[in-house]
Amino acid sequence: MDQGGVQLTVDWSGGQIVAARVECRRPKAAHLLEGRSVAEVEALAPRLFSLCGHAQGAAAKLATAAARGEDGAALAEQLCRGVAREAIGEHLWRLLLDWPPLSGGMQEKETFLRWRKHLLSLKTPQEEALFARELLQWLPSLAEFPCPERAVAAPAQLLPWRDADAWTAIGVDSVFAEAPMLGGQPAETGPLARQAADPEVVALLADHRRVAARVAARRADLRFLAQALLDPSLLLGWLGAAPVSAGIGLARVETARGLLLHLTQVKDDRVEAYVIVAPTEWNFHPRGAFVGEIVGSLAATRDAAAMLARRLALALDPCVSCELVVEAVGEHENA
Amino acid sequence: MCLALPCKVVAIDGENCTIDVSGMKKDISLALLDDVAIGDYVIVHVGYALTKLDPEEAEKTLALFAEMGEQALLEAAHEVH
Repeated sequence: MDQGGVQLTVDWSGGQIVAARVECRRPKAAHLLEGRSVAEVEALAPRLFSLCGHAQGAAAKLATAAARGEDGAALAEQLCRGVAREAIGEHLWRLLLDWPPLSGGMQEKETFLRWRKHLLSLKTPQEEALFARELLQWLPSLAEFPCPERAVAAPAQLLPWRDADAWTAIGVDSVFAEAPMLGGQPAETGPLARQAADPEVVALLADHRRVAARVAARRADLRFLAQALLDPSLLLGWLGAAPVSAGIGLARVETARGLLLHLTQVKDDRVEAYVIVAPTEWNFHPRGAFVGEIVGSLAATRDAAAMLARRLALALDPCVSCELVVEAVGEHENA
Repeated sequence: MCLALPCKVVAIDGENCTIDVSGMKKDISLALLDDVAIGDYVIVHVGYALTKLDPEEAEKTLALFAEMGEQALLEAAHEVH
């Protein structure tokens, strides 16, 4: 773990995964933003993160605006399209490049490149609308992945939709950011939490097929985001900010992976404290969705156990690389 | 949060290139980017160059990671693999 990131360890007893552990150890990038001017922080936040720069930049602007007592509604409206485009790109990456090799298929690299280049070329709302219509037309042709696994344990709660004002009452700080919980329990954030009312997702959840439900939710999210590029008013709830107390602001931004929270304390135009709560810390909480769902899974071989763990990890979509270790326990210790 | 470590392109071979990540050399794909030249800085994720950076911006970001220390550089470099 010296290189940081997320380490997943599953104990395999020969026929079943009997225990699992998650360790997230990453440098506190948020501290880099402390002691700097508000303008510096707003410029640095999107540059620090490679996958969700738009969302991080938007959250930084909204949080500092709230800390200064400004109404962020107009700002959120201005920033929402960039956040949606970024989330679309991430969803396409998962569905076209990451899922096929874990489902017995091949990466759809050419298709991904075509969409990505189109996405990055968008300059005007008219171009976005054209892109969105093409995406909506193409989505039904996206290959289905076989996801037969059935969850055996009680699932982690899905993180309910809460506006920024509601998050101000939770007590977000740097300790919370390391292992966030809601109501004293871990929760899952991301497409499944957002699209839990989608009919296909509802049916899969009722059948305990939670990995399949997450893939279906990602498709539903992609459809929603394409529709939102045609009607950006749909996106207004995705970004928001609220003052916590004098000089302290909190922003919430939905990303492809789930909820991103920024909390900042500003005094005399200088950022004194900064906290970022990323989606990965919810989904890979030591008692969260990964651990809760993988334990009890049946796996006839060590390789099968590894594949189940990799697929569940991908479904929960960490924003950093995952290292997986399968430890054979009991009489299979030397397998 | 995946940290965005600027990586310098030191060699190009068709759709692939070699980058320098904190002194280590790595081969990555340039499939997602056009017009990359030797000496450019790119942001890399799981083996793909994602974005090309303005050199001045890249140097500033590298200085920022250096402030965070060796652990941050190692984490960001890990994402490049």
